[in-house]
Amino acid sequence: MAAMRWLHKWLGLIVGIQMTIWLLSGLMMSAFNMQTVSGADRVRGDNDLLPASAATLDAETAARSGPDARIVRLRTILGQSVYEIVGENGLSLVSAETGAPFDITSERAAEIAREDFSGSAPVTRVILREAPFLELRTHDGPVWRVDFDDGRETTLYVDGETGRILSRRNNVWRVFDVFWMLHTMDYAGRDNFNNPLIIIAGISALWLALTGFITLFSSFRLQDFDLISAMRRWRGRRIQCTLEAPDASPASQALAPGLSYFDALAARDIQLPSNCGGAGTCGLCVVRVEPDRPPTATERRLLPDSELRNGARLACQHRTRNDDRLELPEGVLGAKPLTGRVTETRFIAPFIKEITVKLNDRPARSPVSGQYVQVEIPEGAMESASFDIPEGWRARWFEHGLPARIEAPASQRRSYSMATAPHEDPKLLVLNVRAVPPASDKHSWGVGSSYIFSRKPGDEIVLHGPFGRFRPTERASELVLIGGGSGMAPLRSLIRHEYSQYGAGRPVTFFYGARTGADILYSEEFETLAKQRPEFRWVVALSDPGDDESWSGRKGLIHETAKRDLKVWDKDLLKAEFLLCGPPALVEASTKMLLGLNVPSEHIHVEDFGV
Amino acid sequence: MRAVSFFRKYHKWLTLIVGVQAVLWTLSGVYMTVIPLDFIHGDHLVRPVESQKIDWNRVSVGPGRVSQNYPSAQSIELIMLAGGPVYRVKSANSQTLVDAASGGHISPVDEDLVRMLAVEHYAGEGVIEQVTLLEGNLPQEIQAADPPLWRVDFSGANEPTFYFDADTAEFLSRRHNFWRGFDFVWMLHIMDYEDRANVNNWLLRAAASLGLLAAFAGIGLLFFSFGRRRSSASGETG
Ligand SMILES: Cc1cc2nc3c(=O)[nH]c(=O)nc-3n(C[C@H](O)[C@H](O)[C@H](O)COP(=O)(O)OP(=O)(O)OC[C@H]3O[C@@H](n4cnc5c(N)ncnc54)[C@H](O)[C@@H]3O)c2cc1C
Ligand code: FES
Repeated sequence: MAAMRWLHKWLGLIVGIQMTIWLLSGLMMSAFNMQTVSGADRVRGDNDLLPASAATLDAETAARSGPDARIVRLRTILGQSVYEIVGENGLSLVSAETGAPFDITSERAAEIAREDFSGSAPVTRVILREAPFLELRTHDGPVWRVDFDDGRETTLYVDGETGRILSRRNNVWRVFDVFWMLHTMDYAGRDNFNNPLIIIAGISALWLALTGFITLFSSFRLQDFDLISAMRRWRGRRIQCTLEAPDASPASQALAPGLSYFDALAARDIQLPSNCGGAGTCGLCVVRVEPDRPPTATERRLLPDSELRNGARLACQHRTRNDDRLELPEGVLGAKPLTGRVTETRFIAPFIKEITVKLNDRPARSPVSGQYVQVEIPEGAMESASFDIPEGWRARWFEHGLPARIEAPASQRRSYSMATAPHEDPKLLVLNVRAVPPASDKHSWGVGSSYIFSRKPGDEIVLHGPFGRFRPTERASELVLIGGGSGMAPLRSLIRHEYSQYGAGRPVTFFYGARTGADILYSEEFETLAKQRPEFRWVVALSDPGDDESWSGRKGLIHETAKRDLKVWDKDLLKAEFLLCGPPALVEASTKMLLGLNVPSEHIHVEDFGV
Repeated sequence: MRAVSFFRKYHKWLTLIVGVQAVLWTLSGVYMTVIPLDFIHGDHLVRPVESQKIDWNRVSVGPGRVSQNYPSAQSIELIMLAGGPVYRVKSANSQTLVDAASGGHISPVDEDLVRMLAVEHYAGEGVIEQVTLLEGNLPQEIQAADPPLWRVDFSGANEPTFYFDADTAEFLSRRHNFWRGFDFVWMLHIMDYEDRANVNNWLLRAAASLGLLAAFAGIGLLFFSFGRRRSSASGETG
């Protein structure tokens, strides 16, 4: 489907203008009355019976007029009987009564035209021309051009040989003919619609239409066809809800009917955090409602039971209801987007880039350690060449196949955790972003991560937030962190806060899992910290050390490493709090392991990255 | 609402309405442009036939007599048909064939004559398969003519058909399957499903208007989807 969209867009660039011209010229030609265009509306249309004198014509005189004729046609021109003789040397006219040549002179041509024309407008000009020319393209030979002053510059063309009216042109036709030229793309002759230009444009336009048509199927949601709600929205009907938030006083808000809370709030510029844009897959758009509202299957999958019992629901899963009460998370009501510029980017592991953003202004609400921001990923294409992958790590990227371009079909938002503590510099944001390889042949690299990877120093970036409540409580006397990959970010933020002048300086054990030695982030920083602070422990396990001789540390999955240590923990596990962060598999396995060690679930804090 | 989502929304909804027609327009357009018009017209099926010189010795009835007998005549045309001179007499709403030797009325012409004329004019492959006299309702493909007509079907791959005026023996038109295909896609193109001729119909006007709006929204979208790349590229150099 992404390929279809991509094709549709590029075809649009190539033939979009011509498609518009076709539609416009087609519409105009359809709008013009054909009677007027052809001049048929100003034709007198009398029946030209043969004159009474024709009754006396005999075969002998006829034979004398055209002894070698192949066709002899008796007609009436200007009230006189005339023989039109088609013979060896073309066509000639003779008077049927006298046998004398009957030439179409300029006077006769004018008279013939006047007889045909229904109005009383005067003839202004009669000139002889040689067809074909622009206004008379399919005729060959001399023609009289007879102009009328009838307000639309009617011109009748009278055949110089037969005296017949060949065509009736007027200004309406002349405009029509320009549209016809635009439609046939034959800018010289105007009539040849078998020209290579229109064939190429036509075939491209066919593909444009087909790809667009196919794309249509994935562009709509069932909810888009709820016409009753759409009518109500259109008529301006609104639903009244009360919105509450920890950082704002309750306020009544008018929301559109028939939409999900997520969409209805977005229409009011209240942006809930989301990675999936309201599709019900990210589990980030959490709000609180009256707990009696039954949770959907999606919610049961994405939110823990304890949360559901407290009334936590996903805003994208419920439609607006009158008199509803909704509690929004912190930092959503009245929030404005943050803008900043990238100041530095560097690879810190084969698939992880550290990116530093300097915000233009201090955030209205101070961030707290462990929180995340939402980055605006605009619609468009990213060039993978701009990722600047270091030479030595390219091979690992190409294992997955790396296309030249990665396309974001629509603008969306993605969450990234802060990797520094806010007190260090409230305007500075450091993110650790992992490139997400294609999930299967049919998918491409993650759009959000690709966007971040393609950023260069100086590029502008738009963010929302900060959001999230990933942090220990004050009651904890000891912290155990378990993380892997880019799950490093919020854990590093928490550690830097804990050991700063604002933190409590509690003992911290940090279990960090990586695949190979190259995938360990910030190892020097933590080794140094461990030397300076005896209460900090840094335990790394490699899941795939290969034949790396230099690795003398632990091996295996990090939750298993942590389990081995925690089983023989010398202090009271019940007084510790646990913070887990990283990919879903790590978070899930670690949670299970901790519950197995009888750690109460309210002592486990989780930040699931979802990928 | 931001301009880009405004354009996307309108592009999406308008093409939902006219999307099928847009496919039909382009598909029929490609058919009409790819196949040369002369071929569609069936020029390859027809051999030019020059009429014979008039044999004046056998013309014993003068044009004056014919005009007396047919007071409503607008033109009287003397030609040779099957070796003998005949008059084609045309008036506003009828036409007949008159023997120039005897003055007798010879319409409608018989099947043998039509077969002869058909063979004379036909340049395609195959032989005559069937000759039919059409007196009442005419088929769609020759609507504009006046009955009675002779219809001559040939056995060629393309199902060629010739039409002759049964009153005057005039060769009126030729049809074949590519012409019929053209006529069908033309109907789809101008959305006149009845007569296939009236481009001034309201359905076409409405569809073209919506299509045009959709195209404008599409152009608007293009501007945004390619516009951003430019700005990020300038960010890179700056
Ligand atoms: C609270 C929070 C904090 C986070 N913090 C960080 C962080 O600090 N660092 C970090 O790197 N990440 C973090 N993430 C994850 C991040 O938000 C993104 O989810 C991640 O970067 C992937 O997004 P993407 O747009 O690159 O990939 P997506 O485009 O969303 O794709 C992800 C994967 O799904 C596949 N895919 C795409 N479309 C489909 C489909 N239709 N069906 C099936 N598979 C599909 C792709 O091939 C890819 O493998 C965090 C997430 C959350 C929720
Ligand atoms: S917005 Fe992603 S689950 Fe609701």
